[in-house]
Amino acid sequence: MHIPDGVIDLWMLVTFWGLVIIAWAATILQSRKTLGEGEDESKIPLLAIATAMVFALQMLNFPIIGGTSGHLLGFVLIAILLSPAQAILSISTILAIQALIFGDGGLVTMSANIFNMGIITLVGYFIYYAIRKFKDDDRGLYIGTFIGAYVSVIIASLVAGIELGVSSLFAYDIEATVLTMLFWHVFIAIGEACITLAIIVYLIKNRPDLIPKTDEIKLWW
Amino acid sequence: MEITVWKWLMAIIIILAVFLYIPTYVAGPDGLEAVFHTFGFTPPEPIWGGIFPDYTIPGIINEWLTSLFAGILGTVIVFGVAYGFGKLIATKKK
Repeated sequence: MHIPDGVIDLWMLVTFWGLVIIAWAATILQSRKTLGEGEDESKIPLLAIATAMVFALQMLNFPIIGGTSGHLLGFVLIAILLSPAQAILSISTILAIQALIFGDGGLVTMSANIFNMGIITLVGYFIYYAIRKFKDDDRGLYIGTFIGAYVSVIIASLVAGIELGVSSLFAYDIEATVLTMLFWHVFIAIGEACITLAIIVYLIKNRPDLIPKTDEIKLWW
Repeated sequence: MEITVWKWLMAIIIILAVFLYIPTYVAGPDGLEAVFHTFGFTPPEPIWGGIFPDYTIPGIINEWLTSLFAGILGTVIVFGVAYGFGKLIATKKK
């Protein structure tokens, strides 16, 4: 879902840059406090490993129907392991390196990509949060992970579809762009949900200390 | 929570090596590219193609090897940047 340059109008991208910079400033200021915290260890290695893992997983395409493929976004995964605020920084780091070094996604359009995949995906995380608070056991964790990850891709593709529809550089009706985006991502989201759930199930069996307990899960920081 | 960083990084690289083999055969365009295709839209040539355009290392022709090395390099870069960035913004607690 990495939008290249020259697809979204500049005024929209500038607006998104504004939003992204505000989000970064808020998360960096808060992370200054939370990142160094902990009993006697730091969360930084976990942040770096989770970010590197999601970068690698984003390279692995899984086939869906009709010869189209999808790959993980990973926002909800990182948000579950760390916090939604750190997931914003983590996904931003990945998108910046993908655009700068691998030519994946536009440079100016990076703001829209960060917004789609690293900020609006918060909706998916909040659904995970609500489900876990509502159902305080492993089942709640699994259901929350699956639905949260699923919704994160749907919301990201919905917003990307709206951006394409509004943009004058992509001269097609908004209904058409939104519906076409959603059509493919209804399937891709299943992959996102399954991969995220598989990793969470693996971790709960092997490293349960990495998964926050229900009363420890973070709404934001 | 002691994290054996190197073990994890190795695991990531092995997963990359195994699974990068599949897309060479089965993967088509991703969701967004499929949408572009549906509308017959071709995005303009990028001004900046990256140092390793489209996850390839110039000079390595084998599709699997070139994306494997690009993937390993990318993973290490992302790890380093995220680690450095984390260190940079974290305040030291005594």
